[in-house]
Amino acid sequence: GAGNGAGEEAGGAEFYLRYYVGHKGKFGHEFLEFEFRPDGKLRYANNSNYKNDTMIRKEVFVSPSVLREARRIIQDSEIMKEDDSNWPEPDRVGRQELEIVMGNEHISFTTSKIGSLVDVQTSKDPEGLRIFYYLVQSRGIDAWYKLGRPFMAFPMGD
Amino acid sequence: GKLCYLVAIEGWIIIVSGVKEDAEESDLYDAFAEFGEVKDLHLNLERRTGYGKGYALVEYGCFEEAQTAIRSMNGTQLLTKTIHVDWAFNRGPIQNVTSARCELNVCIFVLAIALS
Repeated sequence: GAGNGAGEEAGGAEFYLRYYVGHKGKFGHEFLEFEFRPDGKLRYANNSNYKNDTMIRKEVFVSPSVLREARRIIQDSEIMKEDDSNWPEPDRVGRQELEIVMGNEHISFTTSKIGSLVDVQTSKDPEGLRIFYYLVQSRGIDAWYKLGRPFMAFPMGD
Repeated sequence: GKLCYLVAIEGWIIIVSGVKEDAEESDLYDAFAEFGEVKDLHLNLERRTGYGKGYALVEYGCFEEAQTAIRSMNGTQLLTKTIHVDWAFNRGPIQNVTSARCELNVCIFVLAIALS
């Protein structure tokens, strides 16, 4: 569903983003999820059962500048214009979810894991799926994860 | 409410936005090293083209260095493009002034009361 109106970003326009990637397999439910909330709270959870890793959950508050930059990246990607109806369904290999609220616009996409650009190019919607792929593959991830004692990992694709 | 700034457990991280597309890490480093030792720096590159997506994270070892960097560099030009520099993290939620929408609702409510 759409954002719950849980607060508004300074400036009056709501921004919310949630990304999930995971699968349920031999080692249990392995996933990574992060969420930007309109008040700046950034929540991150990473559950990997491989080698008996435990769940990692972190929360931190980001500044309005970070939210602004996240919004800009979303805007520039034009992901809000896309539609997942022709994207591959989640399967045993895995699942990705992307939910974004930006002002009056809301998207909620569900698809399978994307292994590589070949999967994108052979899909029924290569243009749209490519935008999604590059967005979630953003190398911004590494940085935050590295500096990131507080985290923020944009998931690396498999 | 007043914003307080907290950062990472070990360091003080600032976000530099509006970074020109063809900037390199060395450009960022050169600009920000004068305020203190840069513990870590990451320039976010747009994966498809390799050009900068427009922001960098710079980490200092202490608050004063990061604060000086913010005050000195925010709104200045880096490689002919204006950059904005701010803390990356906050201690708590963003405290908003009442949004325009909330104010409108209050006005309507007051008007309704006045008319009733």
